[in-house]
Amino acid sequence: MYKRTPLYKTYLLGFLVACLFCAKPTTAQSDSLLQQLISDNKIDSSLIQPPAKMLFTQRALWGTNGLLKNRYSGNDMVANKQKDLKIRRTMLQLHQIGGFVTLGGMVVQGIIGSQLYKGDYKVKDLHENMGMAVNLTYGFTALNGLFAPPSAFSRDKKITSIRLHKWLAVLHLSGMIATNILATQIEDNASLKPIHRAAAYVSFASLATALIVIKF
Amino acid sequence: MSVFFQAPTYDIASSSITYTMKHKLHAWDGTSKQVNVASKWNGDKLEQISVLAKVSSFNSGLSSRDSHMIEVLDALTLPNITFSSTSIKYNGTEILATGKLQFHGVTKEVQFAVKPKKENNQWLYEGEFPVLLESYNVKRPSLLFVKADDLMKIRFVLVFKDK
Repeated sequence: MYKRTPLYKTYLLGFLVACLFCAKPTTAQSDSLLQQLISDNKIDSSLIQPPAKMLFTQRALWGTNGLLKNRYSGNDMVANKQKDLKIRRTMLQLHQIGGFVTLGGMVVQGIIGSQLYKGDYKVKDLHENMGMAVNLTYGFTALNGLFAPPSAFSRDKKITSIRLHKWLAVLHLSGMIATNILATQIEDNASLKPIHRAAAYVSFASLATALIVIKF
Repeated sequence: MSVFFQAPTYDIASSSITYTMKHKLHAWDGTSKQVNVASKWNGDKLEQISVLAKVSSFNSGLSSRDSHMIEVLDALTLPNITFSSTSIKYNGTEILATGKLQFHGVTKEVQFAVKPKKENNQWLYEGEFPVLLESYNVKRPSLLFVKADDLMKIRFVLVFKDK
């Protein structure tokens, strides 16, 4: 049976249609302008592939043929890259904490070492234990820096703070290796003490500088 | 104004958008030179404009920092920053632009002044406006466990050439 539409509904519909036609056209027009610019791609695929350049340590783990190439079971490339970036952030934060702890340990070790250098042999065990602690925190820091997943880009061409940080890392790593080797030889050859101390100072100075340059 | 006036053409190579951020230890800029623009003209007057820049196109000179920005801005899934004008008013030597800024998937209305400048056969449209990162649900990036300032300044230069 035919049912007549109530009059107020007809007016309401008419009002809505009128509103649609009278609405400012600018919003719709500007949206259509924007649509000309937006591609269909909802994701930035350029960010998904690993960067062309990365440290050999990073390539060994995270590269296309790296040890962790099958780290994710799912094929969602975006989710996988997001996980990689999250791991990178966590590892770099640990790298920062480790760097400060190591630097603090080096200061303490320098004070103990200078007492030992002056002939206070009571602190010899403490110096050795502290050396072990500094080596451990240094190693932890280095591992987190060297093996973190690569950044999304590798486009730096100039000398950047990160590049300086890496060059200084070569210096303090060399200094740490030299300090440790010389430490094992001092008991047999006391004349190596000043060289051991110099190597330790170089390690400390270059590590401190590596932390400072990051701020620029 | 000529009856046969042709709308100026956008010059992407000369245009740019730059953000400036501050941290307790330092400040830095990131610039995108890949700014896409669609515009509508009424004679020689800009009537409507839409702008799009990819987050990944901003280069601060430090890949590691740009990578961090990709992360905090979720640029893998929210790759674009867009602006669509809803109103452009000429006010003497200045233009007052109002429109929708979509950043980190959040859309807000923004309003800012634009200074048009004629140089030889090209028009430069320059301006700047502030963006509060947290109002767009962005977790502020941090360095040495100290967060960057919430305020980010956006500066732009859009260049159009006379036909």
